[in-house]
Amino acid sequence: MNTKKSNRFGAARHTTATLAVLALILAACGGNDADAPAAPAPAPAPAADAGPTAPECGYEVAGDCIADAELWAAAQAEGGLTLYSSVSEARQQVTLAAWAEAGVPLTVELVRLGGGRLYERVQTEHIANQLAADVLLHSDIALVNGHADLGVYEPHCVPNLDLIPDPLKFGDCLFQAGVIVPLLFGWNTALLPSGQAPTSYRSMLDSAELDGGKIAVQHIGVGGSSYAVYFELRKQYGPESWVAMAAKDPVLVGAAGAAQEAVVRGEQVFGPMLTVGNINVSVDDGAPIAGLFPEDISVAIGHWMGLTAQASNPNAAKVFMNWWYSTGGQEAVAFSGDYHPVSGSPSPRVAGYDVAPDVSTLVFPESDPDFIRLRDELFNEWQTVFNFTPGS
Amino acid sequence: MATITPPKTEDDPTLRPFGGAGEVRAESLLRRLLRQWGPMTVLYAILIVLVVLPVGILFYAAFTDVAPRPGGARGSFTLKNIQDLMGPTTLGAARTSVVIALGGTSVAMVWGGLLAWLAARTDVPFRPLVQLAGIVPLFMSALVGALAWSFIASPGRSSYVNLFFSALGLDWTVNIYSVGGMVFVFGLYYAPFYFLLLNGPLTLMNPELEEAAEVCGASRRKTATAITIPLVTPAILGALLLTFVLIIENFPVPTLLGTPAGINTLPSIIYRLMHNPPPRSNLAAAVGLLLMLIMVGLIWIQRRFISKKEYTTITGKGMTPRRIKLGKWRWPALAFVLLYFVLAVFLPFFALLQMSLRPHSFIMSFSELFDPNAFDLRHFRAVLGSERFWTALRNSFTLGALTAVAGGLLHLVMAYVVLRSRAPGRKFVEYIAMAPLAMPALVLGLGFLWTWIALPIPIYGTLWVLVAAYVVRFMPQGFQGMSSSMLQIHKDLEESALVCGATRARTLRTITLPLMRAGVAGSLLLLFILTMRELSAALFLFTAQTRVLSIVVFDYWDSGLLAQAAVTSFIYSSLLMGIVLIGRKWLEGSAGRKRD
Repeated sequence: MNTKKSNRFGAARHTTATLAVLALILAACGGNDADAPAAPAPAPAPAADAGPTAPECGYEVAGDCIADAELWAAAQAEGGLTLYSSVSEARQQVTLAAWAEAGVPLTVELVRLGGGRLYERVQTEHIANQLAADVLLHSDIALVNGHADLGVYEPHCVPNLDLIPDPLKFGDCLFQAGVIVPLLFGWNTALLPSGQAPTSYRSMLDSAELDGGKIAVQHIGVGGSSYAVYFELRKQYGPESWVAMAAKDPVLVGAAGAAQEAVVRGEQVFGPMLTVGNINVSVDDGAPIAGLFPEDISVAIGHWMGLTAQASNPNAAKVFMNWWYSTGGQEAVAFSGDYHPVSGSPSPRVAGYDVAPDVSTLVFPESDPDFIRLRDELFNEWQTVFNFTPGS
Repeated sequence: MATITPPKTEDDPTLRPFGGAGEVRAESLLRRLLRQWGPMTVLYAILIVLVVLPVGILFYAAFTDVAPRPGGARGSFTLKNIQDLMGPTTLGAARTSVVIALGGTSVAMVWGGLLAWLAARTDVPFRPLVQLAGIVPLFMSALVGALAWSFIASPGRSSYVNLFFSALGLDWTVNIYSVGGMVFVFGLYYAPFYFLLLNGPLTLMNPELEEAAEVCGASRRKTATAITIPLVTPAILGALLLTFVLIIENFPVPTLLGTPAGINTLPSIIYRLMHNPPPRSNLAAAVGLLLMLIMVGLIWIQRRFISKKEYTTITGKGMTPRRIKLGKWRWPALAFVLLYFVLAVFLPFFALLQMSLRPHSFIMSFSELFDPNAFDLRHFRAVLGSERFWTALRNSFTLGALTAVAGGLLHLVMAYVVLRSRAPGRKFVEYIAMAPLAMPALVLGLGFLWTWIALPIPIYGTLWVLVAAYVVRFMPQGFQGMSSSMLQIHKDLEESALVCGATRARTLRTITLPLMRAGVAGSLLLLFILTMRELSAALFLFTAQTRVLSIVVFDYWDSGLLAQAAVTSFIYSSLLMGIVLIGRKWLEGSAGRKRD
């Protein structure tokens, strides 16, 4: 038996005290609110001119009124909003940094989840009447339709709605595209000279240089983006295009980010479904990677934005959405590397391009009725051809 | 001589008759029932809410065709999920998972078991270093370890080992993206479980048994295999079971190191089932059910094996610890320790720091690894300037502390009920304790979401729901740690105190807990660190305000921001290592030192 009572829990008290002090120190520490990823400079910020100019406008950013007086007062009372998003962390942080730079005194709490997990979270929370999201920015039109069927969304007519093409908006102001994400070719310029890099899916399929595990590509189950590319590829070049691609023994990964990193690190040399935002970040960091819009099929997918019916901060959410579709939001989206659905909005910043291709050159598989109708059938076919199970 | 005086009824209101003798008997009966069943009822209620409901809803989901979201549509009974489970891809993934788990467990046993034996029972030089080597890798989660080793040994030309070979002019390459690679990483980072669970029992073991064997002429090897190892069998089996199941259900390692090579494991399939849209939660639950059945079988075998024998080594008699002299093997033993330290700690830290300081991850030559002109602090500035990082850090520490305290208390009570009480249903408590191991944490997180969002207790969306999730998630480890230590203590020590009039609470406080100090300290420390590292259970429950560091790392990785993932991993692994260094004194300053 321990007779040294004074030491019995001495070590425990010592450790507990140490942990407590450490926790207090950490609690006192804090960073600023510039929660942006590395490298890219913030979007152009018209913060100096923020504030009301017209008497009826409650709050204005870059010359656009994003809230009337009544809405602004209500939004201020709420203080902020929660955004559930499936946009990649890097790109989302760029747009949120622009929001912060614009000086709008409403906080945005971000919960970022991949498509499947986000869907489950939203459905479960909504049914339990505990949906914490005020605004949803969700990929994959099939999933978004599922939310709409459940009554997740509350209509809110955003500014410039009339300038958004019909295929990119649904219901009566129920939800609309928030960003349009193009998928590019990307290659390691130190290992694959630009002259040898394919410029189209056709040349990629025909290139013997890319045989034997030199391609890093997402499998078909990664959100709606990879399925969109495989769908268009098969639509344009037939089922044999998948067979040709599988014959190259590509390395199948679960995220665009993972494919990008594999290319940058030289594990593979080429990726056919990379995002502009990630390429921009890598190029800004000096990585040997270049991006290219494929000449034959430039696929783009949407992430769809809507106000939730259970929003705890509906007014702040409306102000945020109004900003998103105003000039300031369009510029922020463009800086992050995505296209904005409002016609005439700035072109995205794409490393290696003075001006990105016009959005009219992009293909939107999500607008094709077969995109959803044939989904299960095509998934099964893809699994057989590539001998890989996205989810059994 | 004491005189027993019967109480006077006029003094004792409970015995004062009012209306007749029948009413006096009812009060006593009620009190007796409350005393006998009250605490157990509370314990059962807690366990039902924490464990049975989430696991039960997953069981239900496995046999229905619609996700069982509270308030949502009810599904129909179906066996399709089970049928899909029997497909060639899933069965192949199951075989691969078992192979990896067996390999990883074996490698971890070698590393961790030898380190524990060297530290507790031998005269290996620099014993504190051995203690340190055994537990310091706890600071690094399997996710971070896999990330670091992918930098070190991926098949690409920028991996550090391949760069080294290239610099030597060798046409060799390594590829961590393999079954062997995963076994290697698992073996490194699950060795501390063996160390922690074996160090206490080895330290507290009565050396007289080994001395008697050697007096009778047994060699050191014979003594070890015939005496030492059998006596710590409960701890070995406990660690083996824990490690095997933790490895087989781990998803970050096969996702990072297996998927690029097209290697399917059950966890990576489950992750894809739940992550890729639309989520197939019912099938994921079915996979979890399969693992649960395996788990129940393993527990049953383990318990039957242990129950047939007596493993008590701590009795009321005093004892002096004894160190086995290694002789000419002292310095090779130390080299073994240093090798483990280099592989598990130094190299991964080096890799994380490299990735953190480089603008990008492409490296042309080995010499670039040491070129200061190639380094800059942009990624450190970005992460440290991020409010999200600091919020996640605060949340992680808070969560760790709360889980250690709440979980430790619950697990101690559960171990006591199972091993020291005659409470009805204590076997039920034991199986409940191990049940969370069976369900992959990814799937268990879904169970938590579906269950606790509907509870009248408003913890969903707060840090408390994560505390509850982690208490459940690590219930097997905590319960196992407490049980292993308690099993080493003979009951007669406690019974002596009870005979002398001490209450159970006092006996626990003054007899049992001091003797279990090493085990209790280790369990609490383990809970804290595991909580800091945990990813899977939080994936469905975190909010913007309750985001933790593991989520931040995973989000960075998922977005392809490896440098930021490396910075975050480096910082919080460093902090965790500091915690481990502080906490290790709880382990080395236990019974062994007292008796010295």
